[in-house]
Amino acid sequence: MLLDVDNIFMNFGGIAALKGISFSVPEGQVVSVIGPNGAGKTTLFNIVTGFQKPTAGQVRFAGSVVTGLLPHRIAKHGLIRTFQKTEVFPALTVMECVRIGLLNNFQPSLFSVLTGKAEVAAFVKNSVLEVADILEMVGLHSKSEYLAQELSYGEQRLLEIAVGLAARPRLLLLDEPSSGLNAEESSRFSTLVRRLQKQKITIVLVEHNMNVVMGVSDQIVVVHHGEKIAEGTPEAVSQNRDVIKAYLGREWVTDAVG
Amino acid sequence: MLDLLPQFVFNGLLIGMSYALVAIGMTMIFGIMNIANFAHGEFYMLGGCITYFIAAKLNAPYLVAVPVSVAVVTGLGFLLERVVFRQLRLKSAMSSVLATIGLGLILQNGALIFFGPQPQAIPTSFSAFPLQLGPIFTTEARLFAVAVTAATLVLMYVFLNHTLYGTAMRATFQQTEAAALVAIPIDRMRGITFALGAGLAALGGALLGAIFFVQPAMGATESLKAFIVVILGGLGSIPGSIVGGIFLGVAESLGTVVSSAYKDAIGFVLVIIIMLYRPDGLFKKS
Amino acid sequence: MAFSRNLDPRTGLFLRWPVLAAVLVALPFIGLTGYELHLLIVSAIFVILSSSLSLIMGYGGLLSLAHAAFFGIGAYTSALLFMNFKFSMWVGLPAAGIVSAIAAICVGSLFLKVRGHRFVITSLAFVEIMRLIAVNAVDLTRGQMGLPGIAAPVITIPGVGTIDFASKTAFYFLAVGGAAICVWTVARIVHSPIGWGLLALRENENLGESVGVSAFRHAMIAFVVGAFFAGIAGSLYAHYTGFVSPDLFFFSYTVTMLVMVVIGGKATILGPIVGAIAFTFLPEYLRVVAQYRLVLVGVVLLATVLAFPNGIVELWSRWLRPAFLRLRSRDHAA
Repeated sequence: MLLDVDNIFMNFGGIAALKGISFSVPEGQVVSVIGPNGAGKTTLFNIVTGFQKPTAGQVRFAGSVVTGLLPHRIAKHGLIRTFQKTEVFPALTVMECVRIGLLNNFQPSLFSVLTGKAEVAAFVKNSVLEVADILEMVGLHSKSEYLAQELSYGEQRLLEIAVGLAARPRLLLLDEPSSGLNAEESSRFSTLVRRLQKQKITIVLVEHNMNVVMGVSDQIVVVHHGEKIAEGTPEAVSQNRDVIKAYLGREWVTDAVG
Repeated sequence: MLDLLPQFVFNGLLIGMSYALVAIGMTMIFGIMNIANFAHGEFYMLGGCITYFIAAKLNAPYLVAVPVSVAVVTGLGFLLERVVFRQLRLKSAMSSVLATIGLGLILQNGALIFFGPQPQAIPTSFSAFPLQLGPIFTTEARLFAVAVTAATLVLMYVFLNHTLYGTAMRATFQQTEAAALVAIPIDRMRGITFALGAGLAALGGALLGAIFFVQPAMGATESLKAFIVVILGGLGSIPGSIVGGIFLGVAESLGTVVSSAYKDAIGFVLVIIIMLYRPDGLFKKS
Repeated sequence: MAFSRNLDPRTGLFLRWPVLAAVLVALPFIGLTGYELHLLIVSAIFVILSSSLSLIMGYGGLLSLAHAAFFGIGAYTSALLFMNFKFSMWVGLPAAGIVSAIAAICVGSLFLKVRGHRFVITSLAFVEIMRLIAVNAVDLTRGQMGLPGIAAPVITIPGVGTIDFASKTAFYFLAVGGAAICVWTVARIVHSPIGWGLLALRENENLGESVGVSAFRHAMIAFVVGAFFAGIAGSLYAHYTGFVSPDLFFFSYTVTMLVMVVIGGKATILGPIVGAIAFTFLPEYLRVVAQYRLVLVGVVLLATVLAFPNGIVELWSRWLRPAFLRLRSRDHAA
């Protein structure tokens, strides 16, 4: 297993947000974590990537325990995330933003920068090509000189993924990547996910858009009230009674009433 | 030594209450606008200098000069909120700090041009003879300052807790978005808060100026003191500022007895410790 | 690298190094008065301060009010080494930089864990504590009396002769040399991967962390390199003026540096240089309006923050330069 989330508990004050969640992500698969709003999905992401410390439990990535490490340490292992609320570096150009992601692979010491070591120059030189490749892949190559803040919302989402890709993830956690995207953008996004999968990048998705989830997932984990209520292939999960009751069913009920 | 204790406590109380007046405004402005106002001590300075101008140059009685100068500075605060601070609201901490440093330069050096650099005594009709109250020696001017400050602090308390405006102000303080939802006019609340904060600081300057001296350079020191107080009491907490102000004033006064050399440094060491480890202030239970 | 030809790709200002170097070398010999030379030396010292501060606040986005503290620590280090051990500036200068850098590592390891107002206020409290120590540790610093009589160094080169840096012309080269090294270092850092990391820290710390950029590490590099050069500036100042006092820690020094950086242009290489020179020379030539000077500085600072957050260098790159280029191309056409 590439990622093991083992019995994670999270309390805020007296409120239990996560009550012993466990799941595993095998290398090369696309796993979606779904569940109604407030189920604890984003908290789970924050814990896996080091932005929050769990009350109890363990996260293992590629065999080593990463619980309690700082986010940039976890990123070094190849575990990269995006944010639910789109995050970019607003006043930098698209090219400069993506370049920052490359720092996950190489960070020169102050000494080697000041003495002009060849490896630094080589990294800077290669970065141009690498950034161009990544921008080509996400379809932002024509925008590389634009400031991030000048991009449309959908383009900013793609830029954030590009920044994450530059960090050379073994596993990419995408927090509601298709929210706010129009139909065309979200189908473009599904294509992107499949391409990433071909490149052996494992993907964990938190997603609301069921078209996306059903279309790209190998496995689905359903979270409700801080607990895992189901897990399995898209077909199995979509027919699971608990899931229909807790998640889909409830939405149908509210739809019917509202 | 011990019989002098009440005297030192009283002196500290006097200074501490003036710290509180300046700090309340600063903490309110931080709470409601998220701006650390480096120019706030200049309102204290202006309160003192304008009182001096009215009393000494226009020969008006001190008791008239105080409310007039407080009114002028309150008005100035209202204006500055409109012209400057409203535009800083969505900017970073860096921009707002830099802007208030710029504003401080303008106010301090503007006052320097207008009032001149010399320390001046505000003429009052108070008797200069010492009064004895039990173990404490004091003067009429000092008693007046303590009484007016105490009354103002009580009025502030009543205003914030028992009037519609005060409640709305506190609501804006705690939950800006929620306050906007229940139709509290946020912009107007900010203007009033800012003006009120400026006026309180000016009152401090006008009262203390009649006991010590007034000069354009005194605002910068006062800003620093107010910062310490605001941080001791917790950024954004009004009761914290009052307690913090009196605490600092009395601590400084007693500190003079123990060791005068490093007494000022204690405040700054506390500030660093609090900012790093207890950002809600000394008095708040975590 | 790119910046060897073009000092600042963002502003589009071309400075050809050989030309600049020739001008700087020629300046003391074109018949400037001693006073003008003095202002050039002071400018050079302020270029060191403003460029190093710009690394911290312009690129790293950390508003440090403690820069004057490291300036003062450097000045006192040099002065005390000279007064107590008769160490010349050749020892004092590197020692000042190193002591300031070590001080920055110590306070930075505490302060750089907080951001925003908390960092601003902490840094302000630190400089005040340093000032109070300079005032009160009378045995060491002579308090308000200050330390006078710090001599400029003398160097004897066999076969060439003796250079006494008490001469303004000689000290000019020392100060300009220091400024050049500082600007070169800052430019080198901000155009390197470390500079990218600094921008990540300024623009979006969480996103940077999520792709492996340690906010703390980058903040520390900027803070310590900045403090090192502030210490160097302090040592140069001490040996040039011959006198240090607790006034070096005054908030007004901090404000002067901030004004130079902000009005010049925060996240540019040229901005702080332009700011430092302008705010050393202008006040001297605006004696007519002497008493309005600081009011004007305040107005310009406020206006810059509100209207031109990237300073006058941006004014040039965004408005004046395009206009200039348009004019020139029209001339060529005609």
